[in-house]
Amino acid sequence: MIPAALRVTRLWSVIGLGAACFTQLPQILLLGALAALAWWPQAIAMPRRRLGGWLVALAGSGFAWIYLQAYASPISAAPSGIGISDSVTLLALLFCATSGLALRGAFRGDAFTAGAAGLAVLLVVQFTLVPLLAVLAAALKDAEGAWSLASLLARLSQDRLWSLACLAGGGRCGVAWNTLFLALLTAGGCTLLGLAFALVVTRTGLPARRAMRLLTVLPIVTPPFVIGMGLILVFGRAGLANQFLEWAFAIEPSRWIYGLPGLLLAQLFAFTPVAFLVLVGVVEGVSPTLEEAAQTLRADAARTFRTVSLPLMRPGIANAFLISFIESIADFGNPIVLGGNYGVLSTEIYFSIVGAQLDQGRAAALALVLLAFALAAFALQRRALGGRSFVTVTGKGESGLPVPLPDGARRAALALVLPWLALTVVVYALALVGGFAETWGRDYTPTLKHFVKAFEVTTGAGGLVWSGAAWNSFWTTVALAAIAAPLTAGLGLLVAWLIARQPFAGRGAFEFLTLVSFAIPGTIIGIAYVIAFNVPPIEITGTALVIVLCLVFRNLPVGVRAGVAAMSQLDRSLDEASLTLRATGGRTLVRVVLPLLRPAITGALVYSFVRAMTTVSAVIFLVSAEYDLATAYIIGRVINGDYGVALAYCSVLILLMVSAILLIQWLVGTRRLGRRAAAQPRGTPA
Amino acid sequence: MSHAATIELRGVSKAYGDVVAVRDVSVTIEAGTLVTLLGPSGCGKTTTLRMVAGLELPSQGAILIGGRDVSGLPAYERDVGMVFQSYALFPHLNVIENVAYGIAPRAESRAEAERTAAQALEMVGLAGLALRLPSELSGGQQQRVAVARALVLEPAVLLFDEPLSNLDAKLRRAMREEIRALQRRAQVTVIYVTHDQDEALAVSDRIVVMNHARIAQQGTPRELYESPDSVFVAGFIGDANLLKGRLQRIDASLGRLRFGSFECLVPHRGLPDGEVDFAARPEAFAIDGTGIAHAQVLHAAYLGRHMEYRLRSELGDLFIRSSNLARACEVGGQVALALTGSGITLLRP
Repeated sequence: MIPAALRVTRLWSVIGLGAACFTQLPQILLLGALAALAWWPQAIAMPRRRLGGWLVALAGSGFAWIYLQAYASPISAAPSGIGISDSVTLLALLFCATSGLALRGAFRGDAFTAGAAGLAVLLVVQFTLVPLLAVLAAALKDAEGAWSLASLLARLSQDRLWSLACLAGGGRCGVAWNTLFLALLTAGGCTLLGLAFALVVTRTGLPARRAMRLLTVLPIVTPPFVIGMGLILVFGRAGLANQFLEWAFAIEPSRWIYGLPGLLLAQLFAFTPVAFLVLVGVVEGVSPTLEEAAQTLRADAARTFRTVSLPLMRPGIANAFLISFIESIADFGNPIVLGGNYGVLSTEIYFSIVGAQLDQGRAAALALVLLAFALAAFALQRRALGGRSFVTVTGKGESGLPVPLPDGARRAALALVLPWLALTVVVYALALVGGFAETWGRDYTPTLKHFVKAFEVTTGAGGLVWSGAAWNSFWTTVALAAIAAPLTAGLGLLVAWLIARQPFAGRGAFEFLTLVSFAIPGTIIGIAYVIAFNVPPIEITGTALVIVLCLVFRNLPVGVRAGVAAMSQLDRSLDEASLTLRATGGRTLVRVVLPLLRPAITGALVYSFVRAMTTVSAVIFLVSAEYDLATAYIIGRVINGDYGVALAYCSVLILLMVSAILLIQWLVGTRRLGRRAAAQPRGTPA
Repeated sequence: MSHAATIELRGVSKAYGDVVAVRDVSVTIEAGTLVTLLGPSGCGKTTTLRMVAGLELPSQGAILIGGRDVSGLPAYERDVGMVFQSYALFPHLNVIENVAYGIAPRAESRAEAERTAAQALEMVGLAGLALRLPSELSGGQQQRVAVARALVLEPAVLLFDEPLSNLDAKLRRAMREEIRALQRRAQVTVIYVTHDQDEALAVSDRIVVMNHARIAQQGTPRELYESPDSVFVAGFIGDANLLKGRLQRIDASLGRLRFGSFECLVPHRGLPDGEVDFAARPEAFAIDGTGIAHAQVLHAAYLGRHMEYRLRSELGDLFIRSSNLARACEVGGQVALALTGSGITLLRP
């Protein structure tokens, strides 16, 4: 019997040989040797470990050689970088090497798993780690392109970054301090509000509490700057609030919304739902049994809450704080709309690469500072959660009732939540209807002209003509998001399967890499892609490919996390049963794991599609005239002061995504219901 | 189905980082026998089974099935079938699809595969349930489907990982007889993992007792119960009072054992004269008016067929079992103890 791993090697050595024919002589010889070894009849009789050793040595060294050559050769000497035939050759070498590893007993001897792990590691390293290293390299080069530690230090120690002039009164503080200060305020505020919301939803009898859970969907479906625009409509110079004050009390309209106060307000609106999502899980996770135990020990509601419930929530509260912190420093949409003179790192990075400065080195150095903040918060978050999660949901059925909030806490929570809720509704409503006003602040005549300008469709000679200004970016966005979503979900599930199910050397590091990219602000990913893929061996700036890649690897952690969560609910022995029934790793994945993960796959697809539609920070560096994206287009309109079209475009996007989500939820929901209904009449299992 | 294979483990070890799950296990399992791996949880018995299945590869040593070294082979290239503790029936496939899963890619047609699967289902007595989903079956039925699914590929080796632990006590007894009958009928070599000593004694041709990642002792059920080597085996298979006495050899096989006021003849198992450890089963002592040692009853329990007592005696605290239900002793009362003449074994140090 031919081992499965050898069959894989045979296939790929031939494919690789075919592709290598379009490249260079050494590669043809190498693949030829591999194919000869794989098809040599004696290979079957060879001891597995020795055959595997040969494959690993030949294919592995060939892979390393081609790869390093592409990166090591000076830019001018590389004729075209890595093309399609090079890529296929590299893949073939990778799969031959991983099959060799499987023959040597790695990955429990399974060639499919070995190949999948090799591919996933290669992709994640190439499109997450390498770009980040490129940022570091760019920050270390001076204006002439020579390595220079001094220039990095000079960039890092600028006054513009670290000045504390504002404390001394007069002057502005550095953008690094601005970023930190804003993030701390935002994180504190979001955590407090999120906790209040979570307590109201889970521990009071407020009638609207079910509807309040809808809040959690808002940040997913809205582009990040929508809040900023809604706030401008209320509190801007021409906003409703200012106009009312001027009309009633003759108070001169001010520009306070542009700067720290407005920015803080916008981020509180934008990220409270995120904190709420984390905290509602934490509050629900506190076991009612423990609270009932406290009450049988003569503790009243207030004492139970103070001494049992709250301490149990502490790690979750720390987690919510750090997640809001990371969201705040990563935010780009609100600072660019509302920041005014209050510069933060993400906007500063943007302006040093698109503005008149065009200073890649400076942008890279700023990105490093931002990255350091994000990683520090990530490390703290890991420590806050590490082994001390008190979420006490167990598999046992628990019959206890959660203790209602003590009166004082209830009143305080409601006092925070209700006005905030009203304001949220107003802001979102205005952002939705703002596009229907002639000119906000001056002329509220209802009009469709902004929609017509953006989305006009006329009939011309050749049929329909998409003549609206927004159509180009709209269709590009939908198309690229539709391409990126299945790739994100597929790769994410593959990575999740490897992390959750396959023991292999280096899995810990691999898992850490995918997790950490969760915490990396989009701005950094964007700048990293610009720097890394602007030059050979992979030169794809300005193409649709770079945008798709950026969307895929930016959203990959979401797919991975969804996949790991879903897979941890699947008994591992299901995979193993399939293996003992003579199915290879590949057949097991396709026939057993994927069918059982269908709801998770649907979820991952929708989520990556929606995130791809709404993301702004990463892709704003990558769009070109040919491939413009909706969010980048809207930001451009806002910067030009053209609010009408921007608002109209936003409302179309939000409606599109809400209907997409509802449609999918309806489909997934009915499928599950159908199965339960079908299973019921036939007697219950003993 | 008559190609049962010998299984041989040669110095097999498995380490996860610094943790050694299985250390230097060597055992030979004859073709067509049923061998149990028995031990407390965490002793390495399941890891050993998974290495035979190919779900883990050994860090050291070799595994041979039918004389062929399979140490580096993935599970799907070995001639084994496995029944999991959780049964691991695919919840999205119905019963017949579950059973046909393994043969489908090899069969000429789908109908052919389902015909073979139906035969296997018939063998375990579930012919009528082919179109049910696993969630619509009882625990015992799920178990049978799992067995049919593993058997349908006609493996040379069948592995059971605590197959009865999710069933209630009555069903467990019926299923273990059924598994034994099936194994004889299908002529396969079976490795059976359990932590339940009664189950192991009832089904096995041989038992391999494991403790702390190593083999503690192997032998037939009778050998293990009647002459355990170590304190651990004596305590794990059946109950035992661990006592000390003085041994004096009298011939090539027998010795005189003295402890307290008692004296008896036992096989000396090659131990030297002098102080020895020995195990006394609960049935080694009888409560008898003619007894020579006096003891006080600390605790008594009525268990239907017999009484269990905890006694304080000159030998220390003793645990004994008495089938004399008519004259049950009161807690606090005095009783006299005699030896029954069986149930005493010397332990190797």
